[in-house]
Amino acid sequence: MRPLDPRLLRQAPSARRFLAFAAVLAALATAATIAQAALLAQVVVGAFLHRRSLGSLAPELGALAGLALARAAIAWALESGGRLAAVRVTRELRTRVLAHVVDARPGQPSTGEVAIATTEGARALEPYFARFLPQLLLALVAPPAILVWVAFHDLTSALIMAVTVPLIPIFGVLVGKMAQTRTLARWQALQRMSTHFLDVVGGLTTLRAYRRGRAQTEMIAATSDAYRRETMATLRVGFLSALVLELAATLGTAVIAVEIGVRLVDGRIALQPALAVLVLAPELYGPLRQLAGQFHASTDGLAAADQLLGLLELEPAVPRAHGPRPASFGTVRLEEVTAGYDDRGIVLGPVSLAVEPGEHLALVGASGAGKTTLLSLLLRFADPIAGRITVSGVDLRDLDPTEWRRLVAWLPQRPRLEPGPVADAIRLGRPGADVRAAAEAAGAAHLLERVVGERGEGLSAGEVRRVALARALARDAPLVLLDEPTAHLDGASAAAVVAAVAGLSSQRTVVLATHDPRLLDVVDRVVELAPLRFPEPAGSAA
Amino acid sequence: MSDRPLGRLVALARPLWPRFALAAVLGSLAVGSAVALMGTSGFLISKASLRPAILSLSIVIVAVRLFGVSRGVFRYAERLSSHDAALRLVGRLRVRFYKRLEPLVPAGLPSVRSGDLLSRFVADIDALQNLYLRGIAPPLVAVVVGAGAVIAAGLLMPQAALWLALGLLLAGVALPAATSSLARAAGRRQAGARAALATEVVELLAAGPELVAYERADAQLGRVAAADATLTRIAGRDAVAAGVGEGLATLLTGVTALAVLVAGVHATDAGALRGVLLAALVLLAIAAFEAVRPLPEAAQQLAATSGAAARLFELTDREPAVRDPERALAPPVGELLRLENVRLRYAPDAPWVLDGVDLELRFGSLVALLGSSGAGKTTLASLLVRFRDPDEGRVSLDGRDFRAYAQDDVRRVVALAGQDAHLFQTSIRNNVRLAKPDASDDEIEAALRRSRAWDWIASLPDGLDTDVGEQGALVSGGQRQRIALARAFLSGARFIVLDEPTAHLDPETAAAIVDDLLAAAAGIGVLLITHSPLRLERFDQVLSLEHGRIRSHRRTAGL
Repeated sequence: MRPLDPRLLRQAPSARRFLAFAAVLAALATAATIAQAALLAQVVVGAFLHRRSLGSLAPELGALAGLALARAAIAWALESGGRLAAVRVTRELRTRVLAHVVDARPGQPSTGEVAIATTEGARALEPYFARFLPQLLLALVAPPAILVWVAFHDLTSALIMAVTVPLIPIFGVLVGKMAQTRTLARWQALQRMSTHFLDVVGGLTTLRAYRRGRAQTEMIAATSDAYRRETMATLRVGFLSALVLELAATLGTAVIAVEIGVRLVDGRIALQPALAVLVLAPELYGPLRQLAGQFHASTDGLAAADQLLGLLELEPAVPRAHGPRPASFGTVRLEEVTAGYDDRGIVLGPVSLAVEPGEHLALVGASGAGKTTLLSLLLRFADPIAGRITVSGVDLRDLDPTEWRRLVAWLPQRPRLEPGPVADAIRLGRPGADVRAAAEAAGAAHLLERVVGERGEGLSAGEVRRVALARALARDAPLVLLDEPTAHLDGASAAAVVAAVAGLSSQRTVVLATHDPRLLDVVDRVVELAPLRFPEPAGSAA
Repeated sequence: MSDRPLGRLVALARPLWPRFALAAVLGSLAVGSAVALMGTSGFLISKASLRPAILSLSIVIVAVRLFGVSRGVFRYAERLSSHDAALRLVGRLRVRFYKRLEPLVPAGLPSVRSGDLLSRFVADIDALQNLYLRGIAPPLVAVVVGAGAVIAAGLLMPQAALWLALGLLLAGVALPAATSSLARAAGRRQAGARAALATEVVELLAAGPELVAYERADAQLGRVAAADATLTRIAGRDAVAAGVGEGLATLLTGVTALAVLVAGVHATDAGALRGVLLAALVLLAIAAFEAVRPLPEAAQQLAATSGAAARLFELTDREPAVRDPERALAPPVGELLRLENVRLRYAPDAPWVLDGVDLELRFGSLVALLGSSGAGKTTLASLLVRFRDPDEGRVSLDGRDFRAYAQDDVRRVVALAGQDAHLFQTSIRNNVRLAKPDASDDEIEAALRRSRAWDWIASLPDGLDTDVGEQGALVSGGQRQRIALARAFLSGARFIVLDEPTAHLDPETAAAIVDDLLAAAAGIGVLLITHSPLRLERFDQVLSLEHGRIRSHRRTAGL
């Protein structure tokens, strides 16, 4: 797996800046480490062999204190800088992803998935930037630098290092590859077990109703235990990679110590460089070893980034190419139109239908027959996958989507109103619209003085529907689309909405989707959409 | 919040303590090996520089090689034993908490959003896996290795050991305490901003099509950006503070090493320390800090685990809504199920949900109960299978109070298929067989034929083995209800209570379900609770629940 996603650097300038910043700091940290080792050796040898007093060693000790401060400052800067970069990168990606998703795929993909990816999911970037990336750079910079320094002072030790250091990444990759598939299997097993437990807990009411609640205890114990045994079997192999890393690192240090010791006895090396090399040995293996410890920070962070970048690369459902403005509004014609989604297959069609200007048309059909999908095609939230839709003979795909939508007023199934005075919410249909007239037509005139709270609070579901209807009417658009305008309304509210629909001018073309027989009496024509295959689309199990 | 949740968890883990101890010993040996490696290496080369006979060094050389190997080996053994112990712990706790949760469902749980509650319950138990691995093991190892390093240093030079002890205490106790309280404060500061951002994001996405249609997407994106800016400002400040912990840890290592070095040089100068030991002393001090490095993270892990444990205990410490009697009556036959002047409310000062309800359900009769949403229909259903008891009045079966029977005996006679009838993520066969574990395939088929699901199932390529998917996602709403109905038929119950089986269905499917139910209901007592009046003419009795009381609409001569 690649440790860094190049798309991340392309899409987030803050990530590029942090990488450069961290590379400089990693180099400084390495230099400080080497200097510290050299000074430490000098002080120890000075006191031990040359009998130098504390006072005469003061300059070196002072320099060591300075280096300790410098290393602390670098550690602080790396951690803070990493977190700061994560915050900034998250914000940059979030802004782009949200703008893209809303524009490119209205209503798709699922709201929850995008919401979690852009908020909670993005938090996995923090340890990735604060821990993994600095460690990665340190692992790239420190070992070669230390190796070069050691080579200048003790070639034999440098050779030992040069042989043992590559073992860490090589074995890491070799064993890691083997372990990775097993680790993956382990996570899937964990997922399975958690899902099983969640399933049992979620169905507890049903289990208790059938006296099976307590019987599940043994099942849970058995599943947990089977999972443990399965996991341990994979871990026995998985942890081998860690064993190899540890052995290469500590054994390398031990071999260097013994080798130096033997040559010291022979007088082939002086104590001072020998000691410095010994102090540096763990610093050489350390960064690589610790990098392996940041495995989860890296996979989680990359997965989060991948999810965000994947959303950013979604193909727009409707081409963004700017076509001309619609010249005129006339007959809307669907010719053998088929619609579908990538993940659900075909959900509508083929359908052929012509709606004359001024006609009021009701679409009926069982749930899942594609009524809402047909409306979303007319809104150009998606384009047909086969066939075409024309207006006055012009293919809808040749028009600028935004300009086209200005000709459409829409009442969704579950309308949402922007917080603020009701009059303002209605005016959003079209600035400068006659709010009162629209409100009266929708039976919402008495609501004009009211205020909409967050998420529509302060208004009942029926009132929200009527205000949204008024908003649609205020739009003064030639095509009006109403999706289940009376669903879930009590009798009085539904009657008010029916009256409003009945009163719609014949200047406007109306297409409404409904189950409600009362609405069918007030339209010019009723079209039934046949369900695609079976009334119970259970064959999807296959 | 429960008192000392971590203490209670550790107490629950008592049978696993020996395993924890073993893992801690192995972990200490692993880290201790690294410290000893640096100490002995320092001594080895200092001694070697005095050019003694090579034989006099052989013991030290063996020690250095030994420590070079032992660290990796001990670490491997430690990882295996600690993961095994952690998995055993979670398995044990999962069973323990499940046992406590089971009698609480559904009436003993707080609030209405029990779906969220239960998924958090599952996630909280999974989170306990980290309790030992990342929460308890690192401090244990740090104490053992830290003490060992200080003692070793003390043998060489007591004054240097004091400096080392001070540095380790600061880095291992004070620093984790400070950073974890810093992180908690940051979490609290950011929580509001994060929630505000999430709200705006969800609004943007949920209302996305509408915003695009009315050209308001930019306005909402602006609100998201404003919320994001607030969060970025707060999180940015916290990021700068969070780095301080890392910086201080590095500083403490460096300064302690320096203090030990200065003390050592001074002692060597004064003749109190043999110069040949100086390098060993300093290298040992530097290496000892490896033991305390993971402690700041362990402190945060413990805080997080403590929160999860507190939620779990808070939930499972509740009293069940119903209990079995000390000595239960013999199982009832199931001729007559009655509510007698039943009153029930959710809190002592809340209004009565059921306010003097009388209801009779005879074996073999069909009764429909209508009521708008929120009228207390589901509460009434839960009384009939004794998920809860009434506050006043009584529920009786064959003339004896429900409370005199064992709960399971009541539920053997009365089956409930609620609107949320759960389909488990397994085959259709297993989902139906749940009601009667020893049922044969023929019995299962008969029950499914009775609920008119068999033709559909027979047409599936895998038939009864078809998996229903997560929460029954692969099955349509109508078939889900038919499977739930088959379950009730298979159970052999004398009474079936159906709570809104037609909710969320389109009118045609809903009517078909009721038709199928009526066709199959011969020889059992059925109470259909619904808000939509469908096929009422075919019921023996039609009742409605209004303002906590039952109103009878029609009583046919058939009774």
